[in-house]
Amino acid sequence: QGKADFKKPMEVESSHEQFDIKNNKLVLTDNVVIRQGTLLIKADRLEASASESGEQADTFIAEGSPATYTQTLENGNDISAQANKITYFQVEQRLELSGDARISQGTSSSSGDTIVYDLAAQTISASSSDADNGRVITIFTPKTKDDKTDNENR
Amino acid sequence: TPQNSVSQPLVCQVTPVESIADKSLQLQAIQAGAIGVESQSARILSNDKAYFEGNVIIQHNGQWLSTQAATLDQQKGQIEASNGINFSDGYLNVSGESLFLDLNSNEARLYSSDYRLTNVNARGHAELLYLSQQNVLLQDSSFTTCPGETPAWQLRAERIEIDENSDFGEAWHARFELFDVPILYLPYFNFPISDARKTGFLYPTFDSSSSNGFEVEVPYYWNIAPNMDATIAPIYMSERGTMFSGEYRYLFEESAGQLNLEYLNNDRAIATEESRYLWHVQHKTQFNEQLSLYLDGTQISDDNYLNDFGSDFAGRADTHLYRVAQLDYINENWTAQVRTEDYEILGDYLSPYRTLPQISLSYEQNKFTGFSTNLYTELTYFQNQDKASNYATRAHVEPSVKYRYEKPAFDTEAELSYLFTRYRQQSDDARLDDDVTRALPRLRLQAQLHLERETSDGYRQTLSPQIQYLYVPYENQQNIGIYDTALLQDDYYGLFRSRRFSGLDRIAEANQVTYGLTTSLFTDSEREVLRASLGQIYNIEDSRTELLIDETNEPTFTSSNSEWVADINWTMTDEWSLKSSIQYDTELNSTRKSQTALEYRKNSSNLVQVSHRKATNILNNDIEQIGTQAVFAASKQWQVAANVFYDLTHDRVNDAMVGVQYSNCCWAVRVSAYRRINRDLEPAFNNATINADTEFDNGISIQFIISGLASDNRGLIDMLEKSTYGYRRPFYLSN
Amino acid sequence: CGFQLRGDYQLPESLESIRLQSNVSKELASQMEQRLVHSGINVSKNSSYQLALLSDKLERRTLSLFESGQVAEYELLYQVSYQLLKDNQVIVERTAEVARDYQDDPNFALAKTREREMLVNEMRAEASRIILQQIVSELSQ
Repeated sequence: QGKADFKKPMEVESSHEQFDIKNNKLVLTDNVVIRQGTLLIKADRLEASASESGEQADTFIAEGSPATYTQTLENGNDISAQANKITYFQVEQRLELSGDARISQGTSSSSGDTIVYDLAAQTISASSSDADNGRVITIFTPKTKDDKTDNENR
Repeated sequence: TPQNSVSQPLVCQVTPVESIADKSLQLQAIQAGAIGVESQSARILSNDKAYFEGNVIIQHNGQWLSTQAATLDQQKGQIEASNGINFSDGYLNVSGESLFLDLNSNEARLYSSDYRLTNVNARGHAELLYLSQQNVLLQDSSFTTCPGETPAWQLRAERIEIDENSDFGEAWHARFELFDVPILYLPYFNFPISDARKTGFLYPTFDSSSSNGFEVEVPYYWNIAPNMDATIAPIYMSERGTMFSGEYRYLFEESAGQLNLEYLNNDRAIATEESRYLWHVQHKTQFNEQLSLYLDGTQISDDNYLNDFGSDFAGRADTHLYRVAQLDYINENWTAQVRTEDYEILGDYLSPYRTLPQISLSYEQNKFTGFSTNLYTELTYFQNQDKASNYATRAHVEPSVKYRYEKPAFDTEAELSYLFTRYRQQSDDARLDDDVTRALPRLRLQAQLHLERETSDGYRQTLSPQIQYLYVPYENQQNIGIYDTALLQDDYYGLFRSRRFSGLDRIAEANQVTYGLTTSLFTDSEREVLRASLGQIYNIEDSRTELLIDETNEPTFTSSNSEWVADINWTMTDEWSLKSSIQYDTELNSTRKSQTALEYRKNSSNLVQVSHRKATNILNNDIEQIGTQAVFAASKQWQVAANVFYDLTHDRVNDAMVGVQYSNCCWAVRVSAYRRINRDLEPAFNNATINADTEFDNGISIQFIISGLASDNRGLIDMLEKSTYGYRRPFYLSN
Repeated sequence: CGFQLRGDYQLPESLESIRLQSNVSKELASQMEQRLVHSGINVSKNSSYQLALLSDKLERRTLSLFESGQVAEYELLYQVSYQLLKDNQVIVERTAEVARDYQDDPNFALAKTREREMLVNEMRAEASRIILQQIVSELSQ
């Protein structure tokens, strides 16, 4: 699910660009927009870095107030997520949202302190911080007749 | 204020159930149909299962669940939760072991749980609690409305079903326990949850009386349809046997009614061991705005039935049963009616006349000042019940014209009527002619003055002298039979009537002046605290019209000049009131008739009433009786009520009933004792002479009332209404 | 002794006209209208006050017994429950009760039924007087 996007060309826009050669990291700031296929990331600041083995950037850390991530999977399910910090591990196909995280997928939407979204298995794991007032809220909206019109109530 | 808090039924102190909804504000706001979950952590597989842990709260369409761990299957729309759940849906609060909830069909299964019905304050335990749309099914369950670990009463049953909109619960293989001691096993048993459907459902009742012996009644209610129900009650009486009593009620768009049947097969208390029965029919149909039909009839097997068993449809001491079938047409000015009436006379009296039918038509102009005209016409066929050879047809036409002139200070009215009646009679009484015509004019002139003043202590006092002249010429009517006529009793209200006989078969001549005076005291907020009236009829010529003069006794004057009539109605304080009226004959200086009632009423649960009645020559009997009625709520739990009626002329207690009720929040016990006259109107039954000397029936009744189940929290007032003097028979008002 | 002719009908100023609505017996409605008119109140469709006669009920109770233990005198209890509305707001909701007694005579059962019916009409006139009295008193609080 969602792999097709990663074969597509990636467009990156931002006001400033800075390349940190020593740590092999690209830092973009000020309304950063990344588009790859149906995947769209918007953030205030984005750090793209490559792990030692890979030569192409495979870890993206987007921060914003909030940073947002939207994608349409092959099965037509839309995902849209937002959080203060979104970390996207392309190789493990995993998304980590932390800080007032919110994600909705199909008819369910969840919010909590930290959310991990496994793109391959399409599972959301949300948890709240140790402080007992932190709570995970999940809402399953009723299946309307046709799913398509469903995304307007996100 | 404290007084009426005493009369309010007690409600058990319920440990408030902590509402799940309060714990989650976000979930309260989700849209209808959505499922909201709040938890410590959540793992959601797309379009598959979702796992929640840590103080999980789920809300869907007003159903709230709280548990430690729950699983939601998004495909099947099912929720499962175990190791401790709390569930509530506004009607039911449950805390149990585990739960399975199907969101599509809105059905829930809760295992080994304690439940509480919110609006009815009933609670219990259930191994399996199955909840669907409006239906609650409890397996291996208990049910009570009492608080505490060992509730005063409890119902244990293999299966209990509570239907929210039928307001009734049913139990199968039920054991009834008092303080955990089983006292009654019932294979099937149903009980009212609220009194919406069946008020005053006393349950079960245990009585004992000298005439019926030990008596147990266990009613079963059958909710046939939303607009139909039936109550079947076997009544076991040790002295008589088991009586079957059934009631069927129906309510349709335009008509409603009920059928009752009571049947006792060979009554052991009677020498001839006859069967005793009562049937009762009541039906009303409102065809449209104008046209309506009404039937009401009761039949009993013998004249002693009411005395022995009492009834909801007639008083125990009644002398007759009235049956009627009538069709009424009413519009702006016209009222038409066709009816037949029939009587069952209890005891040895003249056989009554039936109307087969009576057709009446009346026109009213409904103009209340100046000139107005009215017309009354009637055509009736009378037939004597036992002597069928006595019958008569009577046609009557009565046009009248009235003029009223009115000012604040005085008003005056003149009315001229013409009463034309034609009879065709067939009778074995020689005095009656076959064909009789009677035509009499009637003139009535009436004037009233309105005076008022301010009294020294701040009341507004009114004084209204009233005078009336009535003229009807004399006509000898001894050739007319008596069908629906009798002498009216003359009290203050009758002074200004234009007739002295009821019905039409006797129109008394009149050349009389009636004068009366009414005075009232009004507080500054115009509340009438005192109203007193005094009046007399002065006959210029004595009235000689009588029912039937037979040679044995000399003609009696049916209206004397010397009788004064007075009436007083005085609310002395908010609590004390006095009502009294007297008819005094100055010539014989004797009281023809007097009644006085003094009442102290603090509220509906604390009142005392003392009354005295004296009447001479009712069916050549003199009556003098004193009575007292008291209801006293000593505390929220204890209520005492009593009424005693003592007959001074026959020096005996006519009727007495004393009752004590202890009630706490979920049950009540009422012990009452009564003593009443045991009428014997059926010589064939037991002894030959009718009522040689009056016998009495004494009895004790113990009623165990499960409040919250049978909602008899009207206290003791309705107990008094079951006594001879308290019973109120309702009458149908057609126009 | 200080009495003089009544100047006016002693009505609260606001109550010169009233709309009468009765979904109960026509006879009671006409007695009530008669009492209102005779007390100087104009009965008209468009008045801010409305008197709604909701229900009337007739019941009979035993008052005294003959030696045989059967009824000698009955008491008839007639109750009318009504509402007074001002601009469609209920401001008074009460019940007026009238009691009359009459003697029973089993030898003339049909005649006693006619007497009961005649008494009911007289009680309706008295109930109308009481209702008007209660309304005037409530409005003068």
